[in-house]
Amino acid sequence: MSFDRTILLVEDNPDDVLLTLRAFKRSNLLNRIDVARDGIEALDFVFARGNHAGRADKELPALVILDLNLPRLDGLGVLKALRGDDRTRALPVVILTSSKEEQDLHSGYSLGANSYVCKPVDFVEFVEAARTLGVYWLLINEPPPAGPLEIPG
Amino acid sequence: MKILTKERLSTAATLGTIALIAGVIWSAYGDVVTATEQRQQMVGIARGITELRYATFEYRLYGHDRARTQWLAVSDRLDRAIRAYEVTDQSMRAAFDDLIVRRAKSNQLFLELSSPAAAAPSAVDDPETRQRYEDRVFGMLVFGQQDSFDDVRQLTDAAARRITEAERRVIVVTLAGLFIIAVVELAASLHVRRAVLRPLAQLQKSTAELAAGRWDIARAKPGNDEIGALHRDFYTMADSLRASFAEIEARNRDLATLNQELQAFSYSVSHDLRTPLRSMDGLSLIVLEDYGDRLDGVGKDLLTRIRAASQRMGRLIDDLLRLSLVTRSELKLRAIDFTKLAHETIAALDAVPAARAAQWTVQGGMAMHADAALIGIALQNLLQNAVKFSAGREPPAVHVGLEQRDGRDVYYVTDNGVGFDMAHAGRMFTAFERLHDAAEFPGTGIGLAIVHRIVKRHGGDIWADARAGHGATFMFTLKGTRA
Repeated sequence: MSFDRTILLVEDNPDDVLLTLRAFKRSNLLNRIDVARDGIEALDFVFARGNHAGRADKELPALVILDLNLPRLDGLGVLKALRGDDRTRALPVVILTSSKEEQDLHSGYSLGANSYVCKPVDFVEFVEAARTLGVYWLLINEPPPAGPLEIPG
Repeated sequence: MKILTKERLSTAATLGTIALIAGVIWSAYGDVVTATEQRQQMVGIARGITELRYATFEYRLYGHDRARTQWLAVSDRLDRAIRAYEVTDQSMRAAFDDLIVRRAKSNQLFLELSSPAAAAPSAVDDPETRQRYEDRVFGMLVFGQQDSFDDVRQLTDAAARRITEAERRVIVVTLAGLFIIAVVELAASLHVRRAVLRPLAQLQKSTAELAAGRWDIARAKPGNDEIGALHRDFYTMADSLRASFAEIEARNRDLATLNQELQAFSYSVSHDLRTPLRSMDGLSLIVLEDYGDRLDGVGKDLLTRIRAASQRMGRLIDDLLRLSLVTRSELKLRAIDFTKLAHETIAALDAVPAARAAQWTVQGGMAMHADAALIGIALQNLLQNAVKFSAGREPPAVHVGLEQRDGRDVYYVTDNGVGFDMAHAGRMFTAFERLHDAAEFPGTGIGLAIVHRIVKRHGGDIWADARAGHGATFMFTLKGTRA
């Protein structure tokens, strides 16, 4: 298992952070998980700027797990910024949110989310969802190559 | 002036003219009848004068008594005829009076001639003198008769003239009357065209514009007649229509705002209310897992109950959102094969053990005009209920069918389950109302509320028929749904 790949969890609710971290742990996904508490911090972390300018590796995370309802800049704003930058255009982003609103689903996918997962209330189901998600994106899925993507043609 | 008044006036003018013509014709007829009669009387008088003339000549030639008697008889007949004549034309009075005077003179002369003793006693003895005297009297008689002829001819001519005059009067008055009637009719026709037809066309145009939804209709200045009143009423109606339409539009905007607020509320319910529930459930589980060895049975049970309650509230929120979705989603009506939909819905229920065990029957050839997605949700809820409440039967039996009631299509789902007491049936279409113990028949009590709302959105009705312990039948109609 390639545990060297890191995950960025963008989530403002401390309980949800705790539960998500535990769910990954219970699923035996031992990858390092960084946590950003709002949208601006998430972007700072990804692009290693602001408070995260001195981030050790400056490498992109292998997966961004993004909540939609965030302070300062909401999840859709983060997604838009990530897709607007050549470095992160192909970065796998999974929206993990409480919202089942059709409108959020629509906006998420139109802005280029790779996946949309609704947080179940039942923690057992939540753990199962987190496990499936981690296994797929960290183990099964091949990540995009490092560096800016060039559009063929 | 009102159209009614004008119409009355023109009718009165026409009828008055006709009455005038009729009166003139009637009076002319009277004149003609009188004049014709008088002319015939004159012809009779003329014949009498001619006879008297012959009698005078006869008496003059032969002089005997028989001729004298005859003369007197003819004279008497002639006088009677003259007396019978009545002068109606005063201009002829003089001629008639002449006639009478001449008659009297003629009689006197004849008496003188026929009785010489009384007339000229001095000359009786001289035959020559007598002869001259008789010649003179005879001559006067004949001349008098000749003058009487002239009088009679004058009177006859006058009668003929009066007949001609009456004819001319009839012709002139009739022609003038016809002309007046023609003028009145022409004026009426022009007036109808100008004051009735043209404003009506204008009104018709305005109505069509209004019907097409254009409020800024061209407004003619209304007159003082009935059409004018109609115009004014129409404009008042258009104004109040416009006002109520504006009010409706304002209300619609309010409703749209309210709907947006409701959507925002649903969103926040969906997101914000579920998050703490997840914490409660997740954190309780963590306590159970990580600290379970330090808790006794009661403590673990309490935490388990917290989890169950959180999960139940999660389901309630989900159901509430589903109910709101059913209310908000746009209605897309189309023809639906309801029999096929029922079979598909039953197949989808296969995950429920009771559904697999049930005996399903579906009437063939059922069709409807409705929103397929919503009707699918309604049917799913009805079938789930039917299975749930007949799970204890051996075997559970559910039937989906269609029947005609008072010309309406009534779709129904009937089961052989536990049924319910009809006394409580009124409450069951309200959200979160339950007729059964939640422990025995789990559920949030939202299913029938969703079905009710879907049926109502289709303009239909839903009702139930049941007896505790003897199954239940749910029936619904849709508005104008003949597929």
